[in-house]
Amino acid sequence: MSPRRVLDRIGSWWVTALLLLVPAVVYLALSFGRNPYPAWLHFLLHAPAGMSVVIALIVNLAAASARIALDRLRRPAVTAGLVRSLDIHATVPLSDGPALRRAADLFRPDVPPDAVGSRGFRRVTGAWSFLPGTVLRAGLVLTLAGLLVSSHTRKVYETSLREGERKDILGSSVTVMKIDAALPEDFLQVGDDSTFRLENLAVRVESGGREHAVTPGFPSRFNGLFWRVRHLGIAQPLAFSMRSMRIDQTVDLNVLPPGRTDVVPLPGGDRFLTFSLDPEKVITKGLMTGRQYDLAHPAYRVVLQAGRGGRPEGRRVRPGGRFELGDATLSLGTPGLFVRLQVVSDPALLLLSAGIAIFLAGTAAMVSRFFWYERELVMVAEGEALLIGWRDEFFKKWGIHRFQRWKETVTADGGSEERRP
Amino acid sequence: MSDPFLIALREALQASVLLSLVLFSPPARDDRGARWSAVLGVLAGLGLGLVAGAVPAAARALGSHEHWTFWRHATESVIFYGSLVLLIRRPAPSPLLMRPGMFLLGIALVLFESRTLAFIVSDMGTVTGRPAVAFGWCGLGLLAGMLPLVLLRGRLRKLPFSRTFTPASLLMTVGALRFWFGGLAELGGESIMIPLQKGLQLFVNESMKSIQGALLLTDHPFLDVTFSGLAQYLGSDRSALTATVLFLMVPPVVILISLFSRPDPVVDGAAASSRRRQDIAAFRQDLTLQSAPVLAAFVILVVLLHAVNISLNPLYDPEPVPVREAEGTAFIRIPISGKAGDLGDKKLRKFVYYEGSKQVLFIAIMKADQTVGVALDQCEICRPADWNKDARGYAQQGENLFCKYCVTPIATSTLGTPGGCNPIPVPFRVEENTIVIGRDVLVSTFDKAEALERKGTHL
Repeated sequence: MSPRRVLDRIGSWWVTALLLLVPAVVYLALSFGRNPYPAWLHFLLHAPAGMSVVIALIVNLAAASARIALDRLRRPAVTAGLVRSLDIHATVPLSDGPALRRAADLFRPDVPPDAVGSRGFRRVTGAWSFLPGTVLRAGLVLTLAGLLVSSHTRKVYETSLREGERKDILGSSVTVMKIDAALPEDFLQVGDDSTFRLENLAVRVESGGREHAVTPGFPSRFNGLFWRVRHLGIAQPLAFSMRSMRIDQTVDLNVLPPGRTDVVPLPGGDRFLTFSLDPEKVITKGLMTGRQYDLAHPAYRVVLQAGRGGRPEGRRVRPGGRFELGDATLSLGTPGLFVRLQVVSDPALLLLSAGIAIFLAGTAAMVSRFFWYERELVMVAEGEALLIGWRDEFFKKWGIHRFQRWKETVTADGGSEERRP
Repeated sequence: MSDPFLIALREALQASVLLSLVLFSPPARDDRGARWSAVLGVLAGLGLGLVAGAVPAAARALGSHEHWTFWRHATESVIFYGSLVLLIRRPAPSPLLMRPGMFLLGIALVLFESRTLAFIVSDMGTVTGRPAVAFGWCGLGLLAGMLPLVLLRGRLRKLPFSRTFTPASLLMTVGALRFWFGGLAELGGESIMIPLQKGLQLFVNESMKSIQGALLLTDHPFLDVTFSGLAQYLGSDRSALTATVLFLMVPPVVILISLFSRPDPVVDGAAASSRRRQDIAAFRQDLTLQSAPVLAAFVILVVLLHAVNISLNPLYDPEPVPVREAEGTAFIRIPISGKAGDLGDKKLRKFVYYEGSKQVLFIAIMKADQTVGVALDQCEICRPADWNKDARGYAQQGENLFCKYCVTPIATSTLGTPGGCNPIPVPFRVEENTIVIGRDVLVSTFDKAEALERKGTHL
């Protein structure tokens, strides 16, 4: 088998359909009485059979692109057989001089009228119209390859850091210089569903003498790792004393968005403190209830749950003071912020991102295929007649009608015409 | 004991419709062997199905009802999408391929229903203690259902199926009809549409989460994440619905395109103008006939899709609760939380106030911002005719109000804003957790709306 035939077979759309059918069948087979997605993803990216399908699909799509590009760029020689294989062709007698001149006009400026009939000619428009599809497939190939590599090589690490804290993460030493979070002083929460949204959060991180910004959006890349903010909370210094028990530490409170409660366990196992943000104002207007919070200078509702059967003691407290909670004493220092950083080592993330971007670009470019497609007009002499053929990649009906109109202008008597069956 | 008869009759009639399409359309129409293969396939499917459903050991061994439903859906999809394979490949009609194909198609047409039928008839027989009688009635029903096909076969043969169906459009139509008929209604018999849409919803949602996770752009409850809005949109139910529509509409649309993209016939060669006209007329008639079943299948699928959306997201149209003005006052007082329910559940409430012969229907609903909207249960611009009274007013679908006449969704937040398709607002106030509406205000708002109607400003 010639290399070209091998390429045709590997890059066939029927193979693509078959390869896409396999994951679909597996998904359906896994779908009885449970969510099949996690098992399906594991099959595709980790099971040998699934990985084989993905790799085969990558090869098939790459081969399809190569096959299409070769078809477009290396055209077969113009012969009478080729003309007859087109969508429609017509025959003009070579002895009809005016008709030949009009036929040559179709190929201008490439063909001088006296050359018509002596050799074959071809005029092609939209020859590069395969590019949007090629871009789309390239995006898919990169995405699939990126997913496959990423699923086997990605290492994920998460850690909490406060302002000024230094940590060694996956061999990289970083210090959080500053957490830029414009927490509002007058956030109004209406209704029960949280409406809190925080934009423009950025964490300034120093590593190796250079400062980097890490955000919850696109991951930042430095020291060969990807860094991203996964969560934000309040770092609250507190001192708690109750009988012989004393605690003096900074706790990371997950009390954002407002309405959320966090638990701070106390030594002994059966006592704990609960923290939630306490509104500055509660506004009731008709049926509407709004709670206004000062998130820049938060106040808490702190409850001491004193063991099984113990009566909970709760009160509103604002950092910077000392408070009594039953027989316990609580002091809160000036609060700061903490962030949960996600640190990822993934050699294929850039490949994957590029693949998805190229795939989306290719999808958008595919719209052009409605009007950018290949059209081919071919002419060759056979015996005492000139064969003129026409082919449209799409919308063949319109192309055939157009050809019929051309033919009427080329031949005075209409000539003879045949369509491909 | 008429139940087994009626169920079997219905199923047999459905099967005979499908079988008549297969037998009297090309390619089986012109091949006696292919016709017999299809008939034998139907008989084999019937026999296998009856054994699988009625013999307890076989029923246990051959899997649960859930598995059979899955394979029924898979078979229907293969038939439906097989049409595209036929359209693209255009295989030559070879008896070697066609006869086994017809045999398998015959099996697929009846296997699943006959298995469920046997299961349910066996169950009915066990309950009544006379299984033989139940199966006797079932057999009679099957024979009665197939009788029209046998008796009318001569007439059916004369129908212009050979001009109406191509092999691809036949397979697609049979697939669409299978989707429509679904399984046996007595055992759920759900159409493929519901599991398809639910499955696609799950798949689209999970896929989007996976992509976000792979790109390290997972959502957060309050932090601003790049492209999270786009991801939520792409992973939403809308995308799943789009995927369902694509799945169902691709075969009919592709077949229609292939029909209508055929070039007009070449008539230059015909000397007589009458001959040219005849050629063009024949071409157009063929086109009309061949597109008719595809368009019919298209309509069936659109109706099914609509029905599925309604069943997944039903219209909520409560009965109106009669209200009177509070004793000794001219005000109607509706507690926001009371006997008629708690408006806090954000469900639509309907009320009716009678004054003489006037029946004033109005609605109240709590919006997302926890304020209340009150309006007449009628639209300013459109109103159905008297014979179509059921289509008057509004219902609720999801978070939107829904005009039952013009099927326009209306955001609940716009209730109280006059104009367009919105219901006509009624002035009101809220006092101590109670909606207070002036009786005169309500009636005059209603009178004004009726005056508009009489002037003919409604569409």
